[in-house]
Amino acid sequence: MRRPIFVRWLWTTAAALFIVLSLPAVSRAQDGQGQDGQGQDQGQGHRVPQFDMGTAGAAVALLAGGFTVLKARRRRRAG
Amino acid sequence: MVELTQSAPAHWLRRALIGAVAILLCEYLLLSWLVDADLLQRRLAWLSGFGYVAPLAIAIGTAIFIFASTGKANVLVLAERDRPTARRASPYLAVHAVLFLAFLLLTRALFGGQPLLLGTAEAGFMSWALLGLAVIAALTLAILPPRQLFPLVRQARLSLLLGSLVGIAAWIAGRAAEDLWEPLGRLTLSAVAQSLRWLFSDSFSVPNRMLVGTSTFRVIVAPVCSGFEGIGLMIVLLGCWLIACRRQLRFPNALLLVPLGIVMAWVGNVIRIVALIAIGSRWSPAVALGGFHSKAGWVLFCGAALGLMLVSRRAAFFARETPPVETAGDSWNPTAAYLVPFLSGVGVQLVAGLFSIRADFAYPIQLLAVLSALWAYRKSYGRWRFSLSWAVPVIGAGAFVCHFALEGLLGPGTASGSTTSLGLGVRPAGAASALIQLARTVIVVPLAEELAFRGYLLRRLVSADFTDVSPAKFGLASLLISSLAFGALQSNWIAGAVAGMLYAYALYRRGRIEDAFLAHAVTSLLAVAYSWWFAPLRHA
Repeated sequence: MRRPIFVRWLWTTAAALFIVLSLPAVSRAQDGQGQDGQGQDQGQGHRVPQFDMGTAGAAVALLAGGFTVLKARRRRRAG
Repeated sequence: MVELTQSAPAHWLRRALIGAVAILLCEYLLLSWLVDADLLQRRLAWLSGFGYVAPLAIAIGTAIFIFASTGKANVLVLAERDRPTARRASPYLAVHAVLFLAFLLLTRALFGGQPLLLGTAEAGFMSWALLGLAVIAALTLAILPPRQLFPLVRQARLSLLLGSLVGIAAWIAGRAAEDLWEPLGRLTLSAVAQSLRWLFSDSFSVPNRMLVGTSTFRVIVAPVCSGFEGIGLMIVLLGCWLIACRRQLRFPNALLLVPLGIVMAWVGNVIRIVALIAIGSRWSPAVALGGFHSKAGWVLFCGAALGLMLVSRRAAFFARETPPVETAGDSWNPTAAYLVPFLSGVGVQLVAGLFSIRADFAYPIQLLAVLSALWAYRKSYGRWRFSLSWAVPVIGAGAFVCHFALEGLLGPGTASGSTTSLGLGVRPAGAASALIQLARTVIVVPLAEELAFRGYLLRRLVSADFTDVSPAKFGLASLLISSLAFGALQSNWIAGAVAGMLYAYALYRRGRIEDAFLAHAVTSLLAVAYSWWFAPLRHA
């Protein structure tokens, strides 16, 4: 397999997996179950999902920004 | 016959695709405004048995898109002679408009609270779905007439095939991974129960009900609490990191990052649940189920993921070349200079939210963090020249009016916990608090946001070497994407995106980032004034 196709294959798999893995969380948020932790437990216990979709925007920005900054290379200053 | 060539890239198809996406987005907004989405979901409840179709379609669509739009099989790279003329596109656009109108009316009839027009729900749905497909088909033909579309599909058949296979494989992997939820949940429950036994004398666990806690506070370790989502996200994120930094990392050592990340994501989730129960039992159930519950998962995950990435770049075991230690001003990281102030503000807001700290208490910490980052990179921004222009405050005021008019029309949306310089603030308790809120919301946060979205992202989408791109030279795609990204972090994404476009216009007029900042500052000033004097008292 040629190198560019291999890399593209990896990127595609990563993107498709990300979407498939994140769909349950998104559908949970759409169903209004993302705020489970807020509910009264009635002796049953509270459901506390690992990721809250209400905070996802800020967290994804932090991850994407951090990824970009850490990946970026230092440059010599002009002049 | 259409020829794909790498040497003669023509960007008309890219522009046409962006135009088509913009048309579809506007139509979607119109539909969502006119049709009750809840009623639509209830009417389509019988479709829930086909719940696997959407993830499968999305996985395949994403895979095909990536395969067909990158590398040598890029369908966007077309010979210039195949550019369709406006005359050729307009009949299809007219057909698209007529079909969309019919689709809109049928949607209203089926889901707008009117009686069904076409007998059973299934027959109505089939007609509705076919009409929807016809709407998209007409738009597709407006971009690419049949004599261009079919040869293009033939030439991209390998990408379509590979994309479909990868998409199906990813979907199967995702479905198979769901079977691991239950055993992982049991492992998480047992680890949490063991940790609680060390900390509290009244701890207990009921494995058959997946219940764990103390006599005063208990949680259910449901599949979504098991840590599976964090592990999946960590695998994907570190996978992307390994691909993106493949030239800088030492293989096979770097592959160790993935198992390390999996363990850290899972342990982080156990720590989160134990801390949540501890806070709920001994301090405040409201804090545990409020800020801590919603933010702890993300804070621990971001810390683990970014920490591993940092270590992989710094440690000689993982990195092929370790970056030189920062020396006095001979080198710089322009990306960091433009992004770190914004990221530090977001990070502080997330961490402060863990303990439900009131917004006005968190403002000084956020202010200090962003100011420190700006000071650290002060030499990177060049000399800023502020000169008065009548248009800048007008654009800022226009953004304020648009933002709050759209919020009023579309609803406030869901705050995503960003730095939210455009959102309403909280009424200050005193003069010092007012000054801090003004400095934070009107000056420092707009500055950080403008550096990140207009200074970096808008130009980065034009060229990888973004510092060489003139601030006023950006395309429609970079404008749309950077504005949508900015909007996604505001309380209402549409209103935020419109404001982002207006700030980009302020930048475009004279090519000065200072103008975008001033326009943004004017909007924030008006928002603060509005929240202090006209809006009801709010505590974020």
